[in-house]
Amino acid sequence: MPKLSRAGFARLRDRFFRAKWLVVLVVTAVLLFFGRTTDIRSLTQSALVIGLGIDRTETGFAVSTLSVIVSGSAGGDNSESYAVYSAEGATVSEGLDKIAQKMGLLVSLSHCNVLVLSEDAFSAEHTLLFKPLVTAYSLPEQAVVTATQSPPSDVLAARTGTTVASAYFVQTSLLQNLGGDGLALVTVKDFLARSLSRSGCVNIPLIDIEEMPTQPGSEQGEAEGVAELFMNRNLVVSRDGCFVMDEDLAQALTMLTRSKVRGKLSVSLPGGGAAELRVINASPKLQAEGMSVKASLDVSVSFIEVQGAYTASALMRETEKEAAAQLERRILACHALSLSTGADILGLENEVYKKAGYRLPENCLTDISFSCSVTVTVKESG
Amino acid sequence: MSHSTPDLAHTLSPANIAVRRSRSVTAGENALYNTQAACLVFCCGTVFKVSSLPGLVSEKMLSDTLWLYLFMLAADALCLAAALSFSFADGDRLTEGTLSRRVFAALSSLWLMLKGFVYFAYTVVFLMVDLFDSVPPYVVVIVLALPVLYLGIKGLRPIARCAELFAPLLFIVIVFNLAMLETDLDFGRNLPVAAMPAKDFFSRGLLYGMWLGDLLPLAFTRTERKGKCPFAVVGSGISFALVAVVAAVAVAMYGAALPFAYNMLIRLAGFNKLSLEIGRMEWAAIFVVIVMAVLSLSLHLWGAGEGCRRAVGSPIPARVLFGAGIIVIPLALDDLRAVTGFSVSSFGYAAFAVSLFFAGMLLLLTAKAKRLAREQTPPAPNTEDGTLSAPESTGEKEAADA
Repeated sequence: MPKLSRAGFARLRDRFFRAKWLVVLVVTAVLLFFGRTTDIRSLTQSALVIGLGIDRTETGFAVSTLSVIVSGSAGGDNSESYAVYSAEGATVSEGLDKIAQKMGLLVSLSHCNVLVLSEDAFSAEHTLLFKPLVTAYSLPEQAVVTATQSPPSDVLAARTGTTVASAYFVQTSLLQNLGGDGLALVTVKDFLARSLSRSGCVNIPLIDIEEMPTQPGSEQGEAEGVAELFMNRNLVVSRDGCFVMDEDLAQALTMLTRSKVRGKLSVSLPGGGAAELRVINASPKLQAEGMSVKASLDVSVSFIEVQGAYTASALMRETEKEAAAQLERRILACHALSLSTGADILGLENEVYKKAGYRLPENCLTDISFSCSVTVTVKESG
Repeated sequence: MSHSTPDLAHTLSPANIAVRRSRSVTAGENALYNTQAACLVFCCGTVFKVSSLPGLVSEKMLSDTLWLYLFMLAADALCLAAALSFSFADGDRLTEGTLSRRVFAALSSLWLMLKGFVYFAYTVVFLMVDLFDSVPPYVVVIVLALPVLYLGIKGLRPIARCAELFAPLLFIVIVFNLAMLETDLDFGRNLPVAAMPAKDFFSRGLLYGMWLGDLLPLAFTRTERKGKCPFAVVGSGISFALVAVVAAVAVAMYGAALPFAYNMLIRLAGFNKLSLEIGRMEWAAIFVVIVMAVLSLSLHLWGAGEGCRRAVGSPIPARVLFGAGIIVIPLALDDLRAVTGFSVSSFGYAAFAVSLFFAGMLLLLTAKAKRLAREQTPPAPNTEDGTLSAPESTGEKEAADA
């Protein structure tokens, strides 16, 4: 066989690379090969988890999932049903594996938008708790983190009067700010960012569950077991543990630590009157100077309802004054709570650290002095 | 009576100069327009800095991540400036046959092979973690290696044209993702600047030296100016600014949790305002990362081949080694994370030094090329006012040579 000359080789090479059909052929072959070798899970083989509950037990974790199960039929019509499965394991992953065995379906967290954790669950190291869920089970970092004092499986299994699944209720309430006043949505990403910060403290919505006093009616008569979910309070999670914070303090805290806050504010006015205000905007500012932090909060509100007879100017003046005083009291109460619990809920260490840098000693919360000023402006409309 | 145009006048006609320039740019094996260079800087010089790097840097640098990025971008700008100035000066042709260029070519070929292999490992890890977690590694390696090898062997022109085609689209997708970002952002998380003593800043920060000098292959190109706008400089500025913005946003989004974000572009796309309306938007960023990674790896392969060609006369050894490296080694290794771990070990210090060494060498070679160009250019005839006029562009120079 004659040996290829250099020019001949170059010609062949050029012809090879000019052949665009070859590229199409190779890509087609690769994609066909890829399609045959890839394990593509169909919806009917997967349990689409829309809510995940985690509780801590003596031996490990109790894991619950609220799943949408899509059952297919020959005619192509699919039907959906919702089921809560629970299992225990030394790790959350083991619990999820046991749930997969119970269901006979592959567990996927890629559609899970709500996490419900018990107070005890937060005693586990937060990084170790969330990282496997995000990396191994594709939990979206946008998923909402909530807490409950009831077993998480009860919250997931709760039937509400307005939505088909409790996870949808929680998600909708938080996204539309329909929970408590100024209750902030905390995603997995935000939870870790705050939990791993210098302050190491994060407040998340706390879900309380109660049976509906009057069960809704249906075609078959009165329904049973329909529950109400409340999200008025916050659970403060810090390195030293957790504690519950009431709605009023939670609202002031959220205003100071988050910028996107809505909600309402009730103010008692001199002369026995009262005003219900809608929070339009809150602009917080924390400024550190050495070991002291000064907080300033500018809040814009509008009237919803006023009880009592006041002149327009007096109403405005008194409302602004009383609302500012009320918010200031709440913020100072938050600071006092912070000092008594050792949880840096106001993020004071974060602020001081931004200026002091690595020279700032650890656990210096008690050494940081704090002052605050609140300005409330009543606007015509929101 | 016939009238004939003198040869010299014919050659010097503006239309002819334009045709000649055009041919020289499109038909050559290493010729680029500055617009193409700008697109290559964007596609190949940013992808590995904005995808996996923010999380890696944050592990060691804490809130100093952005400040390290700015420091490293300054160093990278020096490396890029050196490569581009050599390219604009047509240094590759002018220094042909000199020992210093041969040494540079040989060393850079080896370096580009090593970097290409490590970047390939990063891309495979990303694909296997983010996209195809249940797919055997050999499938990912083969699917990724094919376009890289094809483009890298076919040459600079298809890489540059692909970059020219995709760069505007990719840029728009990234900017769109940044504009539509809806999440809790706190830019104060980029503070303090002094998150650690200066000694720690440099001892930890220089571990990421491997991400410098991604555009070293441009030293084997000849860049032609297109129009009056300095496209290459503007494109580089925009690309580097985008990298800095992504780093700042990454820290603002994640703070101390940034090490969990193993691909920042994907995370940016995840927190999109439209996600609630039209579903998860990560696919857009996945497309961006894959296209940019393939172009960058192809450019590394092409650069390694060209370096080898200038050193030993044939690009084949580098191409074979590169191909074998990206196909065989990932399949032979049990865990590709060993490679990624190696890239942020003490090897990073060496990588930093090597990148700056290449930049210094290129600056010296550029000076040499300019001197050679002056020696080769015959002095222009005296003008009426007695001054000498030198040709301004390559086209004019060629015309003058002709």
